[in-house]
Amino acid sequence: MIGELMRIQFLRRLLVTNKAILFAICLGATFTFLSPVFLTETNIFDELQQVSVMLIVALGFTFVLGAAEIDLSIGGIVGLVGVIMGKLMVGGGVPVWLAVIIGLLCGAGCGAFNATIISQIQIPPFVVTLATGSLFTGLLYILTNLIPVSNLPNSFDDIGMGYVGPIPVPVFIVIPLILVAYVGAKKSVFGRYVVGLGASPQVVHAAGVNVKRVRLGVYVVSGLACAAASVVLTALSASAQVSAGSDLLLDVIAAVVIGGTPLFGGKMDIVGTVFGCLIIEMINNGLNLLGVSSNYQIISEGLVILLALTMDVQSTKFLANLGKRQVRASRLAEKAEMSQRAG
Amino acid sequence: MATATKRGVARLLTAAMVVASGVSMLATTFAPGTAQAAAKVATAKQSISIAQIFDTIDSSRQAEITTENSVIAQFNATHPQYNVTLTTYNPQLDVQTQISDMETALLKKPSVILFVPVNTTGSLAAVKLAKKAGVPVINQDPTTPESSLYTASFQVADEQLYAQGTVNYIKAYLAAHPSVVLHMGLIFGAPTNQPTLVRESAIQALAKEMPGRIKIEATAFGNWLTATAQSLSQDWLEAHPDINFISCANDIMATGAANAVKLAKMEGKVQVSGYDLTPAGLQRVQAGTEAVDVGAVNAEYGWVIDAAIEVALGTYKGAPGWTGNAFNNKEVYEVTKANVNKMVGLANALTIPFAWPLSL
Repeated sequence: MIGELMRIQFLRRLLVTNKAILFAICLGATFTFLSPVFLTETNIFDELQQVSVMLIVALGFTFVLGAAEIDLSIGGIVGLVGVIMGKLMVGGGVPVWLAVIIGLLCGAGCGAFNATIISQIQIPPFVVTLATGSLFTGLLYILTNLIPVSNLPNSFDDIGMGYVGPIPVPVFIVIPLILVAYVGAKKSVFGRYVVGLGASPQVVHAAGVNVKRVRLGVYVVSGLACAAASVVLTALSASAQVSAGSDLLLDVIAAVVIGGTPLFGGKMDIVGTVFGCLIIEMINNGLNLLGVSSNYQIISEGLVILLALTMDVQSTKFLANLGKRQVRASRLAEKAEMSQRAG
Repeated sequence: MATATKRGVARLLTAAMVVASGVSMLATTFAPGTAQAAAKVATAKQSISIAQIFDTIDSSRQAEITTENSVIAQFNATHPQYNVTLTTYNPQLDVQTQISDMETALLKKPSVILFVPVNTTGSLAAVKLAKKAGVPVINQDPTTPESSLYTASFQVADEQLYAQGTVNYIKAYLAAHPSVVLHMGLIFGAPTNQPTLVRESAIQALAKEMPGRIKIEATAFGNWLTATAQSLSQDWLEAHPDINFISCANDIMATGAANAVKLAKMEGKVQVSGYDLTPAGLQRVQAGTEAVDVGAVNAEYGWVIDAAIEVALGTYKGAPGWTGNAFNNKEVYEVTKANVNKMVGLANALTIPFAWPLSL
């Protein structure tokens, strides 16, 4: 009985906290089996380099979803910040470090702009961020006249294309950001307020928390994350492209949800987000390595994401059953213990 | 008392504003000389309004628009009896949006419409609307056979010629290097952008003709994005170590492919090709990181305005440069390191004088 209880508890812990990890391991094992180059050092580091942009945006987006908000302007912010930095460095002769700081501030500003409109004018976030996404994209079109900004300084390009030994520089940017996001989400008061806001905004408000301030923080975090991602993306592309970031939104949402943060808020899973991003990247990478036709890749990506979400739902049901078994097992264990004492 | 005075003043001001607005509206409509002045302007200049509905507006199209506006400014300056205006629309590669843009354009009663179909068949619904409204439409990306819905077609260079440019380079390269087998990765544009698919499918056809010399290792859609092309190229260089040529359907994606080659430290071992003769593309050709860049000179796209003027005035039939209802320039440049320095000046020119006398 005790053995079964312990087995159930272990399974429950494994599935509750590590669903995305399990799926990532299964996916990685599958591609390793199918492609001899999947698990090579070069490919692993290439994947980490490629996933860095989506991962940084997804870290910020986890806070947004955790608070039951939505930010559809992430693509626009990524593109706009890239162009601003590019124009400053190339046209304005601004040093790289200053251009990056200004870019980060612009990203935070875009996030603050979103939060202000949502809070002050009381328009749903879906509508506001859809509109501001167009606004940011339009601004970048006007700034560039649709011509990409190239000939960026080599020192800036090294942020994306440089290596420390075999490890790409973006990895060294992503790791501290993951740690900061984890501490912010799990260990800080702000993180608790975000989760509370997503779970029950009325309770948070009744507890005297300034909801508008929490929302501002959430969108500023998202904007900062987009700006940081833009630094990496622009450096990786060695140019500020007009369409940069335009294809990020759906992948980021899928990654965060697969990672365990619910679409309707109330929970944040930073570790899950990391593995959710790795899952999305492994799908793209693995299918490219296997030479799957683009037409079938689109279907395959959709099917794998559906499978991940189905496994998530099924494991939740399984967990509920496990819970019942756990209760039964512990009652039986108690009865057995009482009988033993009586005997 | 003070409140009543304030209210009274507010009412007075409101009434004054209403009266002033009414008087000014009446003045502008009925003032003596206004109607006559308008009529004088109308008879002094013949208005030719051109609506241009693209498939999408990217950096190449933006350069075309800049050229066209320069041509229009020059034409209006040298022909004071005409007033040519241009309005552009951007359906962003969506057929339904293109049809909606056509409806909007027709509301303004243009003299002629320049049209780049998003989809060869799907976009015909938009052209039907123009035909019904009696507005001539010039197809800027004609196919064979051409739909009878179009009044005319204009081509600075067709997609077949574009593709032929890269094919010519590949053939010449293989002839000059008889022991080389090209292992190629092909990055197409967007699946919805049908006319441009031939830029890469022509290479697939060449590979079938030369199976011992060209092997297609991988193909994918890059959706005209640098980052997507870069990821694809990185993955292919890993999965197919033999790849020694990545062909991209435009220079924006060639940027990504060139970056991937640089990251893999395979410059000089893997060739990259692109299209559109963008400044960045030509720079890469100069630097040796892009083997060939194929495209038409932007300034020649400005000739579409001259063609549009002739169609609007109905003078295009039999005019120089026209073959029936087709205006076909057939100028495509294959830019390699050998001729790039000569091309840069031509590629950056804002306008090039029309090659034929304009029929007005």
